[in-house]
Amino acid sequence: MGRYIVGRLLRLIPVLLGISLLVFLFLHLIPGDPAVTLLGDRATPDQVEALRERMGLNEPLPLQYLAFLGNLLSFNLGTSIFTGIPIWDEIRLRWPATFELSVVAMVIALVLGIPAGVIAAVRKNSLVDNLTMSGSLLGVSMPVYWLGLLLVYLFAVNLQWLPPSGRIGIDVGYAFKPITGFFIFDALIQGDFKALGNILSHLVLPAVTLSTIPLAILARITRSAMLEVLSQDYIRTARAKGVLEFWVVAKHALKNAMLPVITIVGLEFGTLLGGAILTETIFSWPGIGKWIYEGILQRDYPVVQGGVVFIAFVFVLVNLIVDISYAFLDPRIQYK
Amino acid sequence: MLSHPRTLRRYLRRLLLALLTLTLAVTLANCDGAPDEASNPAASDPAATPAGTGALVFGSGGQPVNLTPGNITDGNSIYVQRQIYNYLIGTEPGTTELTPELATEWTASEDGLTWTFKLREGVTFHDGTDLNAEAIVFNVNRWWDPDFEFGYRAEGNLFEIWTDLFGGYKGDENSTLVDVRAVDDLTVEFELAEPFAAFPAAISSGYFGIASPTAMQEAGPSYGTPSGVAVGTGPFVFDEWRSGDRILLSKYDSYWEEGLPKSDQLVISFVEDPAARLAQLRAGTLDFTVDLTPDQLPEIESDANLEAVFRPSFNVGYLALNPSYEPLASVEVRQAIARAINKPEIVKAFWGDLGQTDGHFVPPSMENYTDSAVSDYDYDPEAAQAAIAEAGYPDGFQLDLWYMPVSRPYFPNPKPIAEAFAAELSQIGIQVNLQTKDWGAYLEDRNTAPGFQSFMLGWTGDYGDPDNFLYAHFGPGATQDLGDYQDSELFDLLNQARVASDTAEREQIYKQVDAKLFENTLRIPIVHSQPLLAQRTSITGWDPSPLGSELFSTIEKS
Repeated sequence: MGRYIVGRLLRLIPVLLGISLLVFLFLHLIPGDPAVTLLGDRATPDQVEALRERMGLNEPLPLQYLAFLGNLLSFNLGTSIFTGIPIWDEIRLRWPATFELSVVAMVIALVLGIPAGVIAAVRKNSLVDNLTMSGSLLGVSMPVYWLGLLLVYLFAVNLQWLPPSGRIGIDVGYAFKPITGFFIFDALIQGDFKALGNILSHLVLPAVTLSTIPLAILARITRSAMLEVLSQDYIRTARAKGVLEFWVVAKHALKNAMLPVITIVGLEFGTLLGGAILTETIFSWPGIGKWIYEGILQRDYPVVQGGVVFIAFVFVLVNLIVDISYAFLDPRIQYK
Repeated sequence: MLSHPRTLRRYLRRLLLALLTLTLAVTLANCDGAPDEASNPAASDPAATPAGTGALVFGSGGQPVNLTPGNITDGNSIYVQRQIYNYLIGTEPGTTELTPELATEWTASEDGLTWTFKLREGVTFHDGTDLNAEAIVFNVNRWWDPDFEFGYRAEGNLFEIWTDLFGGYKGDENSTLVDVRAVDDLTVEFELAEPFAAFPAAISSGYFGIASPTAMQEAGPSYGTPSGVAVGTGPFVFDEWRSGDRILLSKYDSYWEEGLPKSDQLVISFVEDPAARLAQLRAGTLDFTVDLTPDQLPEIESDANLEAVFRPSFNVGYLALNPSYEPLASVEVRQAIARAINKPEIVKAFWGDLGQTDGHFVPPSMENYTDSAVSDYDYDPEAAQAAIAEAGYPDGFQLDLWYMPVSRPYFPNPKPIAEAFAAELSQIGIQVNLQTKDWGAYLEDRNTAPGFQSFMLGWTGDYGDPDNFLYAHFGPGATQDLGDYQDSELFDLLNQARVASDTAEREQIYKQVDAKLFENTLRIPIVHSQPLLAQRTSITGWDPSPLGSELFSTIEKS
């Protein structure tokens, strides 16, 4: 197992190289010039040229890529063109926000998606099944941006039940002092339940928005996996033995249907991190996604490169963990 | 397949119960004795605690680049800096008229080469140090002198805007500034290479707030960054910058202006997306915000808790006609084009109440510098067609018209506007080929000979002086995009206006310039647009400045 993990970690290197190359190329292929954005519309060509020279943008692309790569290998992601702040500092500051949001969204997706899929499978072709499946189709196809604004208008503007944006309210935010950056955790260890409630209420809308796609996909995958398992002989045997149907479904069937579901959870975590770019922008969520969005608008190459490479790294890592977890779920799978 | 509904139902019930408990716990923790938010829609923050601090919350279009004066050009940075720093000279609220701020008086020498500023007495920075002439000299040297020890240019400070406004850095051939010195504790002198009547306005533009020299030396390169400090003499003290989220400012108790600021706390919340900004304003988590899009006006007007606020226009969107392209060399043809475009209709269609059109290049807030005899060309396609035929183009001609690939307040959606121009011009026989390219290349290529035949562009002023509009577009060296158009008479007038120190005299000169530009029709002013802002009705005392940022010290929340 140890060797397998090391091997998988080594294989991360070409993957990350590929990602860094793609990000680098795409970013430099899209039109726009950070020097022009930084200096504003009225900059003279001479000023733009001088700044391009200073930022190293006049070097040939392969050289720029090598420089970027060299820095990457020494864990130096550079500094933002605009603010001059080291990329690592920004990532350290912002990733807890994104991670917290993604985890809560994933929890919502799991808690609602898996039971929905199970029920749909057990009650195949019933009204519940049809509703769940059309609902999940809607979830997959609804644009995140639109859904987010819709939720804001309904729950924050019209009903005023929930705050529309941010991680913590203005007033509560004055007193609250983050320690790790994971606000829920920080509030818990400080025993600050007022802040905790405020933080959770701020999480609801963005997390629900972000969870729709993985929720819908999880429900569908669970349903089909369950359908397959439920038709197997050992299920019939279990029922014949007189095992309660609840346990047939919850224990015998569900555990074996979990393998594809877990795979999807890993992959969907990537979707969450990517989806965070839009969700964080709508909800002014101070995470990596909003930061990348600003970076794209300003053509802040180091920000976008650093942010995307970081997300890609986390994504690959999560999927590695998922692969390893197979062995625990299915004893037939062994890694050598 | 059979299932056991009873067990399933039990499972579902447990799940539901767990969810309900969680919701209840959250709600309880959230309420904490606070009045129910749902029954109190006027609450400023739906998640606010009962003992609200009443902080004033401003929705900014994004995070500042930094809080270092002179080192930024973006509005998000200037807005925050305006609250922390004071400027040598301020402006009368809602206008571009200069009023004393840190300087109580400013005068030019007879030859116009030396400007003397008398400073206000008893002003202190937030760190307790005194504002004096040395502090001003320190700040100016940071912007102007590339070798200044505390400029930290090697660490990334750029101070590029200085060269835009003052020709160059210390030692550069084109530098307007020759020397800056402290005459006594409260007197600063600026020595210029040539007379520059707009100097007081330019040195007081939003870029150049006065920061504490002590704080800048102590903080080093981290000054003005999220982890650093920002120390001025302004109405609000910088407390904290939560990267990507908000900036917290609080009232400066020793502020020199009596009774100000009116709010104890000011929060700058970064919300990039205009739709999200308006939603947050409606939900009450923002009190006032800027940079909304014209199509959001109906939504603002439909909400009883909101008020639309129009910033006085300080920009111009224009259509440039390059006389180095044969047909456009004729002034009659250029005037015919101005007559063929139905400007009032186009402005009404694309800007609604947020735009106005006239024949002046400078915005309406500088009306006293325009010739009252100049109104605008009447829309008259028949006369235009006849004029073109008479100029030797009875069958019309081909014209490349470049439209910007980006949205700016003066041209929020350039392409459909360009299409409207094209449709009008085709009626008088001009076949328009619409063109565009990447923004950086667009800006650069229009200045590279032969340039574009015709193009759309605009300008938002830096400071309240016509020089900033007119010299920058028609002065020597500013006409590369018009095929290096040389009009010595115009150049002379613009230079005279720069040198003249008497306001009445300058007004007279600019009136002549205005009439001449109208006649020349090289850059047809299409629109002066008003940026759309909005506030909650609970806000009073906000008086937006045409210059793009204003003090929030007079704003109060009821």
